[in-house]
Amino acid sequence: MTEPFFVVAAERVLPALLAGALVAAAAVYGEGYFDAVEERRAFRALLRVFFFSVIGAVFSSSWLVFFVFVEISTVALFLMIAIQRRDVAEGYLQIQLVGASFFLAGIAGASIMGGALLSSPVPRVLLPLFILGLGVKAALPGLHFWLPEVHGTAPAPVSALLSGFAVKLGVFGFLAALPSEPHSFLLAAGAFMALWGAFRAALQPDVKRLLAYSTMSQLGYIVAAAAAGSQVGTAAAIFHTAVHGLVKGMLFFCAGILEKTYGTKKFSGLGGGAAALPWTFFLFVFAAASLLGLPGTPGFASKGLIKEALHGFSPISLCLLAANVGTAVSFFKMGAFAFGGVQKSPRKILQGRLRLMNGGMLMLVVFLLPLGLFPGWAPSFLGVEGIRFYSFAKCAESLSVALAGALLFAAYRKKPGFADALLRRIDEAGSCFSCVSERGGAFVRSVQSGFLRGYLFAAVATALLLMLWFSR
Amino acid sequence: MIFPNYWMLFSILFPMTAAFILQLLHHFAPSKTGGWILLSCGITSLLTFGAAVSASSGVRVLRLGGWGADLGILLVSDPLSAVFLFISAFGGAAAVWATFSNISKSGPTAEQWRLCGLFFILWASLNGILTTGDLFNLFVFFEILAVAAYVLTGASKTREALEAGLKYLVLGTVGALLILLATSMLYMGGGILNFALLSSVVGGIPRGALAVAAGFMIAGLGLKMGMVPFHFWLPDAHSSASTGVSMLLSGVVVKASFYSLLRVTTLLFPAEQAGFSIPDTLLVLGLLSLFTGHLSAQRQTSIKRMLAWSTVAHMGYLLIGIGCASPLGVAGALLHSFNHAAAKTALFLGAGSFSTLSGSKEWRSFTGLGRRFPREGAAFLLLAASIIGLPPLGGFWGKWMIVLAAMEKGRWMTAVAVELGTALSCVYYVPVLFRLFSPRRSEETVPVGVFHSGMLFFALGMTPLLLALFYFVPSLYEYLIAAGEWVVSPALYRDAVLGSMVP
Repeated sequence: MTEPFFVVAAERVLPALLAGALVAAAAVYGEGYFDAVEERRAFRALLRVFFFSVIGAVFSSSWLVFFVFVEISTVALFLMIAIQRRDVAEGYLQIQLVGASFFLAGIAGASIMGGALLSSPVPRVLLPLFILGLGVKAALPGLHFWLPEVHGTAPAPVSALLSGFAVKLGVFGFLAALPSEPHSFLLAAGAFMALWGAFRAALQPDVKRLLAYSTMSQLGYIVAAAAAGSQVGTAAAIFHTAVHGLVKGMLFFCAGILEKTYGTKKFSGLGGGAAALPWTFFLFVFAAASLLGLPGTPGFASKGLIKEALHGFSPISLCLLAANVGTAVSFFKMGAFAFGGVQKSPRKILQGRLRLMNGGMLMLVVFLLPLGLFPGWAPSFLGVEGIRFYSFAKCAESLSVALAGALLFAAYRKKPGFADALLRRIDEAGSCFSCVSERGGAFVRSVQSGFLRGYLFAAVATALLLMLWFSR
Repeated sequence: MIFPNYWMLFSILFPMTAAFILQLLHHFAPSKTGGWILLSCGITSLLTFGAAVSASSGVRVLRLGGWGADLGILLVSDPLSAVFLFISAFGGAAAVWATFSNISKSGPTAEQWRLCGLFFILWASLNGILTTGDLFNLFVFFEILAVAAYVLTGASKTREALEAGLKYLVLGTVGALLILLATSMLYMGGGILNFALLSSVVGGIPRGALAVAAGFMIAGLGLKMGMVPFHFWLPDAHSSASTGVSMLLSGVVVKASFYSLLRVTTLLFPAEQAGFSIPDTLLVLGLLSLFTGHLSAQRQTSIKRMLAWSTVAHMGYLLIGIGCASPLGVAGALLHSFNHAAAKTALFLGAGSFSTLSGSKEWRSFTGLGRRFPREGAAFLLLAASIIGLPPLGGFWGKWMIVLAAMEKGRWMTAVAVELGTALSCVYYVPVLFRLFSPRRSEETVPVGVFHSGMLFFALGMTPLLLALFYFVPSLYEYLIAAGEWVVSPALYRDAVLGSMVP
């Protein structure tokens, strides 16, 4: 208990900078987004709590300290979501606490078996507990059912923080817990997440749900890179965390602006944003290009590094390539439906609020530009040197992926909601916690019948049973 | 410390005498009774606190009447009972203050006058349970406690309270019967009633008799404690009683019953000699209590009933702690008893005051009260968060130690279940908190009135913050582990008590 709480290392500074950037941008954006003064005040206060808890988590030296700060950040996010949607917030808190149960059991085991510090990998036998616990935070397949609902319905700046940073805490935990060798389960899980997320994103009728599934897909990239087990893999995971966090923040801010302008999140209600919101459209193009990994953007550098890390695992790389196509389809869809097409009637937002919201997006661009212009800087900061990012083959690959996505989108544009109901049922299969607790609660409450004879019978019968049990 | 052995004696004698004297005093000087009640409360609390402090530094043995261990009654307190004596000192004082602090100049109301004697008798019997060294004496104090508790439960004389009191009476008497049966079996087998001496001869008792005694003793003490499946009286009794009584019952009485379960099972039925393992059974019953309590609390509309079910669940945590059969597990259970006692006492106080303000026990009627009384609302929020088990507040650390102890024994499913309780408690506490802090609609009237015992509530509400610093106080951690050692090896207790017998 007398060890230092915090440790500063290169791979923790980058996530901390990401957190700072996102919180600062969200603060500016939130001033423009929230309608009521009360909501703005609550958001500002909770942002501060979130920021401090997340910095504490990122720089923590032991698992217990990490756990405590992650829980505080979960509570802060819960309260932020509750500013507008209490039911979704309560569901989010419950699911995260269920994951925390497994995580805490793992941490307790690690404290006993001597792996209490984040710097040392966790004993093998405890890894399943860590994966289950952190997997709820990082939305591993099977544990991801909460993500579309929560990220898709929370207020836009909160979704930005959730998708941009909170889920990355789970990955950060993976990086600390995994030993330095490839972990096949997580590699497969990452590839599956990337594919599932990308293609489900393309089928969503709602802009924020599309972005939520896209988060799942990009998390798949990060998890796969982390599971590669090498230093390149770790660096790639952290680099893509930073880039994706900033880009997804911008995209969620953009979705929030669309929501405020058109009064709806559904694609059927959006249209013609390029004319009504020129700045937003410009920033959207930059963000989407970055997420697609077009040459010159920071996303190209981070995805390139991930491909380097997964060099030896060709099936995984192929999955990621396919997922890239899916990502391209989803963002062409978002661009075409939201910003192109027929002009739907926009509401008038006050110019000041729109400027604040665009300002938030612009702040994130400021952080993204250096990462794109100097792709080698972040990897060398994380200890990986000598990566050639720009080659003819790589640029051609990323451009052709984008082209394939555009063609696919153009071909299937008429069928936006393909097989949505079935896939949704598959996705929500894991959300059994609340219905189990409801049903269990109803059963247990029915046992409390109110009849004294019943109570007496239970007491005496159990006493006799105990007596028999002890004397066997 | 001066007279280290005598604090425990006076912590029993003084409230017992005060109970009777106060009733007499009311006859002769009704207007002064209020002051005397609070004075007696203060003195009793001080005596109990003194007993706790003296016990925390070592075993204290007092031979009543000078009789030896084989014939007489010993009062024994050791670091384990010190924890519970602290709970008794503070919880009892809080409950008495909450009930009697607003006595007007003309003297106590008829109800307050009826109850004051019983409160002190209850407190005296609690201290008796916590410091006795004799098995039958334990039963006697339990009976005194029971009578006082039954009457106090039904004291508000509403139909609900009377029914709850009656159910508590019937089930409690069955529990007492089971304890008495077990005591008599142990006496018949061992020939002695003193804990220390009995624990040294328990190896000679036939195994069958020991099994029967163990089963009945766990059933009886578990019933007093609110262990599932003996818990059915608890939600009714704790929710129908008046605020001060609920505070005492849920905060202190169930902990005293837990203490006696701990003491009796570890001293008299140790695993090596008995051939059966009690901790495993207690672990299973603890898990059962945990889930029953949390799941039943979920749809409750009455705030006090919800808090009573929450008590059942937290008793489950304590049982899981001792079910891990290690000093770390017991230490976790002790820390959690302290945290829960502080938080539950305060929560009942808060619930009672909010109910009085809004005119109903339904928590849905508490809309906006947290905004109207921001200090008390913040205190309620902290207490609820601590009870839910959110780090870094106090309630988390007891659970953390229990989870550590469970993983030490390799029981990862138990460890997960303990923390799962946090997720389950969120389901029912969070809506209450939202309701407290949501803005009141304009057509509803703003409640007038003062928050009853607001200062006390606010002070109690700060305990989760204080206990959050537990992580930084290694000496407290070591003290709890040392108390756990006392439990896990009964020989320590035996040698200390019998060693002090030597003149």
